[in-house]
Amino acid sequence: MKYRLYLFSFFILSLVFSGVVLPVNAISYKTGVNENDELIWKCKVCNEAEMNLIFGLGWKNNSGIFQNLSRGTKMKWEINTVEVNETVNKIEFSIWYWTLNKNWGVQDNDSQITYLNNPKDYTEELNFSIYNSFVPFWFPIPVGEYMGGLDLNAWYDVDNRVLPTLNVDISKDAIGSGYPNKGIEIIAIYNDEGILNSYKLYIKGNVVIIDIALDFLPFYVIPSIILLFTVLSLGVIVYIIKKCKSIRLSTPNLK
Amino acid sequence: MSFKTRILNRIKELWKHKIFRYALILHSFYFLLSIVLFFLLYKEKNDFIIFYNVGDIFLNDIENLYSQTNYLWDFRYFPLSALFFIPYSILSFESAFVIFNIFNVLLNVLICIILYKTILLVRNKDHENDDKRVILYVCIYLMGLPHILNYIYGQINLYITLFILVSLYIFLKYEELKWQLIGSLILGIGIIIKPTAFFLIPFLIILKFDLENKKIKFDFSMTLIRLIGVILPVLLNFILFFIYPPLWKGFLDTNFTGNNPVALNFSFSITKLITNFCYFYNIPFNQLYVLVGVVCIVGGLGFIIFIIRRFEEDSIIYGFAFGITIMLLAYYDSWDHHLLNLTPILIIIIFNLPRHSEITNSIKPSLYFFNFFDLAFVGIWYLIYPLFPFNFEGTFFLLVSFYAILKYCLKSKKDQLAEDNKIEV
Repeated sequence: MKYRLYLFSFFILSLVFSGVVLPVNAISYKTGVNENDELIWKCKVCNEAEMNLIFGLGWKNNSGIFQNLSRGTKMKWEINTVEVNETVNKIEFSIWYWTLNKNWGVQDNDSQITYLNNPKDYTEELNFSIYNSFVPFWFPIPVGEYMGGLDLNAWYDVDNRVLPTLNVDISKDAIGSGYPNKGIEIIAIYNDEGILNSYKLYIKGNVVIIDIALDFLPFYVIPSIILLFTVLSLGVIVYIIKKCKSIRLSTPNLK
Repeated sequence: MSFKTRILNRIKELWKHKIFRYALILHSFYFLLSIVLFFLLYKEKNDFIIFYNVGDIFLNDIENLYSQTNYLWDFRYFPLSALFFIPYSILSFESAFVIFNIFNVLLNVLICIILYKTILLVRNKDHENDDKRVILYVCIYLMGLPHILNYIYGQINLYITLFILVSLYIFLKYEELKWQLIGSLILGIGIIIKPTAFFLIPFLIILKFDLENKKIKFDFSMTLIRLIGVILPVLLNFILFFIYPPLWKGFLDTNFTGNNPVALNFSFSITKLITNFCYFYNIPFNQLYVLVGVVCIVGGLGFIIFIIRRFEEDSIIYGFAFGITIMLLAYYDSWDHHLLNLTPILIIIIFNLPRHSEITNSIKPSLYFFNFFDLAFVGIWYLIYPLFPFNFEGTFFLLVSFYAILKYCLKSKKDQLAEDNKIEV
């Protein structure tokens, strides 16, 4: 009996102290994109009148990420180089700004994004106001942990509980007088590769004035939906058949 | 016979049941799996991090209890809930998580005992006399997959389940006012820890409208005692709000600024299905209005039907079932592990209804779905959310349970007698 008690105590103590014994590695951040990857985003909603009112007339003509943005247009990035070392996580890419033209032609610009490899290494509070979008289109992975590790200013709230999400709340005149001219809110959701999957810019009343989405559907989405609805439909059919049979059996034979 | 010998004999007796052995092995596996997954994957991404920090902040920097920069995810509960986590915050995080989950296992043992005792207390007369079937259903609860997420996240749902079941047992077993007060105090403490049981409060009111005779029956004194009992622990928080005014502001800001747009998640509440729909199709929405609307419709319907119910005996069980179902259907985030609050109540209902009741046939599929399949649909949601971000299957089975309880409440005495006599005939 005592032997069992000792064994049980040992089991419990080993569980309790397992945190001390098990090695816990620091997260190593990587890039979720590879060289030659093509990333295409599509604009589903663009309320240009509201954008003019909030950011002034030049918001789509200043070589920023929103250049030529309008409803139905697409933007393409082609990753040229990926560099990950002990200090930085960097991608260089060619960019084709927002266009309705299906033939991409020659790139409009070359650009790069660099992050420190450890989000804790940033010494100052961060914001992404260098981008017109106020959020980046790419992060190192695991994206939720990377965003969560950044010391972002009060505009930002990272929610990596279900989908890695960056919530942004910028009040009127937060950046300068009349900029933005109205309070805005942004919900930016990233995929597992650290790529911006969905971007929605809201104004008061939760009205969407910009909606951008990655123009890519993982291969498993449609088969999974078909399978789900097939199984559910079969379930309903089997249930109805069983129900009909039981009603027929329980009804007395009137003949 | 000593207490220890009695327990050992009972365990030996239970061990003879195959299902008990399976349940114990499976539950131990869930526990160990949660520990392994915690150290390998979820150490920096689980709910326990918040509870762990809360205990420390309550002791050292209470005015900043609702300063959300202190937490991975928002801390929303009442300030006194932090008291429960102070002992853990003294330990190292890893040790605290393991001990917290060992405590969760012990809570499950207590839940099983109180569930067993409640079933024996309210079991309909036409059920089997032995306890084989009771053991089977208690084991089904223990084998439930929601336990996995509850352990992995380091969640506190089992505290709430235990408090709900203990108060239910007291309400059912004792009619004296002092016991009614004790039962509701226990429920109130549950609400302090996590306001999940908040929607149970209206169902503590002893009010019944007899439709046939057009008579209202209202037990004022017992209702008053119950309401005082349940609200008193909650009001204790206001002492803290009074002493530390920033706490009150923080609590309000965290819980009632629900007018911001919110991103997608796999919650199966009606409110979340609606807000997911609005988010997906760019329809302007205010999640607070959606919540209030759903509470009014679903909650209102449940409460009205509960008042015009056609039976009196053990009605509190159905009130509790309504309360938890309404909460799961209406609150923003109803996740798989929250179902651990509902499944024991559904099991009690199965035994309270006649053995071959039609209503049971509607409740059983829901119980099995919640216990064994709902978690799979969370995984499926991740696969399909880019095109179809709706985890509606859990909602469907919640509505089935809700409808079944509504139906039972409205069943005429004649139908009930016919059902009771079905076996005897």
